[in-house]
Amino acid sequence: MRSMVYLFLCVCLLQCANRGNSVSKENAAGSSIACTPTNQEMNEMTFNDPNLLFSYSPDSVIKKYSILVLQVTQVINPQNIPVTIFISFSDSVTKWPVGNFSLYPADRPGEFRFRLTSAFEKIQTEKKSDKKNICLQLSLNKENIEAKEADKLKIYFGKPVFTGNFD
Amino acid sequence: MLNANETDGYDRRKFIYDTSLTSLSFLFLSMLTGGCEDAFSQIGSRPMRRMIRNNTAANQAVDLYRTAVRAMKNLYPNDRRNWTRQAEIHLNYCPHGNWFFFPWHRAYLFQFEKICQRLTGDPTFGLPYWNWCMTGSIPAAYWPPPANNALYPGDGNRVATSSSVANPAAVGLSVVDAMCNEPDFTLFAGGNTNGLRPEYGPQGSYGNIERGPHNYIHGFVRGFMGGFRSPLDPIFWNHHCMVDLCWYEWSVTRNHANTNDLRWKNFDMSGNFCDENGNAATDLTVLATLLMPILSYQYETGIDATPAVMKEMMKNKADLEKMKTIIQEGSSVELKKNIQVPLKRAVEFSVSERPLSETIPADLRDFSAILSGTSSDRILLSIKNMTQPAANDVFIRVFVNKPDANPQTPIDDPHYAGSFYFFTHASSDHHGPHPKPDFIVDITKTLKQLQSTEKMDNFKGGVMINLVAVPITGVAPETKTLRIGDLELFTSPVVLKLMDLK
Repeated sequence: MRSMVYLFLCVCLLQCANRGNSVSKENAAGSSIACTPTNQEMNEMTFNDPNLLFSYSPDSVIKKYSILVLQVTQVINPQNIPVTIFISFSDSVTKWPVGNFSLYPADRPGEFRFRLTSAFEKIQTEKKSDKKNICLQLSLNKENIEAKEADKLKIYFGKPVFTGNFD
Repeated sequence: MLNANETDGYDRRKFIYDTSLTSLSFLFLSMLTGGCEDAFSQIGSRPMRRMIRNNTAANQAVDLYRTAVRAMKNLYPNDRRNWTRQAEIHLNYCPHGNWFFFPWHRAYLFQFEKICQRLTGDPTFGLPYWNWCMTGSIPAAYWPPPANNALYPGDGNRVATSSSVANPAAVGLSVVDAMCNEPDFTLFAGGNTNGLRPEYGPQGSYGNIERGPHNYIHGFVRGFMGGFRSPLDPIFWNHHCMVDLCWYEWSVTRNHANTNDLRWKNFDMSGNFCDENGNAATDLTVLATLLMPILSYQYETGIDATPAVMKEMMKNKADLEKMKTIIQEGSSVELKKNIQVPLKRAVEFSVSERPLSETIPADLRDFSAILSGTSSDRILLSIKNMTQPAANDVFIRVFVNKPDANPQTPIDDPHYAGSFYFFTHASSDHHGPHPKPDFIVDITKTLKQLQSTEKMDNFKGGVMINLVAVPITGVAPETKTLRIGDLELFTSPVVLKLMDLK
């Protein structure tokens, strides 16, 4: 019995390690969002794990920055699957779109910049509590893509950077 | 904000004559030799780039394009104008993810269009463009039948099918409209770098049109379009025409400034492309590309498919020089007003069969010099601070002294002066609230016509303006009322005034 408990704990620990402790994902239903602060420099997105969530306290970004810089550092895409990623902020209830980008060619890394003014203004207007964290969510668009042709797809992101004065 | 007139369009900020030139070099040579008049007449007949749709002129342009593609495919491989050789230019040089994206592709299209003109024998040919804001599918003309359609790249070379539809969340009008409102050059057009594909130094960043609809459409079509050999698919050129139109919309129609960085403006792309004779193209700097859509070709419509607005006045060499400066420097232009007669109150009218009729207390005798032709000033109607329809479902026609005007009144009625569209609607996703738009309609021609056909008593109390809300779709609009902050008649010499330049 003791060995079974030990085995169970080991499996749990391994699962935690595989998930990473700094970037959390949507659950299977894709509804609840619970992300934790991240300092991770490299973040992997795949077809089966199509969401990256980065948590921020509203005070740390809203009213401070106007531009979001995303670095796609590496793309493994041997099947040349079309890659489109939608960016938004969200809390447990609401999603505030920021924009989207696509890769061309579909395995080419690059730097992508987004103005945050509109999303931040909406968050300030609509978010009821300033105390709860908000998540920056990057979501791979999976429409018209079959899972079997996309199983080797891997997209690596650097840590999101906020810049520019909010005015 | 788009302000269009169905027959005579005006852009409030840029009064620039709707003339152009077949080539930049011809323009500058003509000016140096005092041949401005000849140059202007050449500008007037510059090629028209039409939106692909089921319309006679657009279909003719697509047919001519098919003829050109077939001819290029039949050229020997040692001819640099050969279809595959043209695609290799893109493979070898194309910049992506930096600030050279727009100008390099504009120059590429410009030279390609010249080759099409030469091979079809039609110097007025303009590349048709695929407006994916309005039509998310690859146009029918780019598919079989016939089986040997030169605009179809062959089975296996496109993944999209004729029934595939691009995602409006990536390429829809509201998305692209918001992108064209981005004021910052780097965010719109890309970040700085020191070469087309730099090995060292800054690598640049993607502008919003490139990272969004441009990249998305390449991935949506896939096949040839998915890689850097994408020009092998004929739809590439029509796609990039639309991308170029977005830059035109941003910089010229919406008056946003390109960067003044000399590393960008003076960047030389000579040698990347070949001209219509198959020789290396020369004198192609980024600076030269900024004037191309003004002088060398024109777009039939804006990104929302309303009529083009660049129909302005440019009377002499000095105005042309000012226009050049404005386009290249991104400076703004202010309209000089002489006589001003405001209504001085807000008015509201319902969207119905009946027009808004308001009489502006102007004395026609004040306009006698213009109406008799001794003054070249224009009489303009300014519609200020107008509420935008919640749904983008109506546009406005303007009549003079026509209180019974309605949506069915034809635009060849002598009382008709012009019309304007709401480029965006109130709920569009923008940075902050929309400013209330102003519109200007030239009523000079209408007043001249009416003074010869109507009794002058009709103008005793002033000039009656009738605004008719016309449903765009033909069905009953959701918009019920519209409010205007003020109406004003004014006269203007319609000259360019540089605000930012000494």
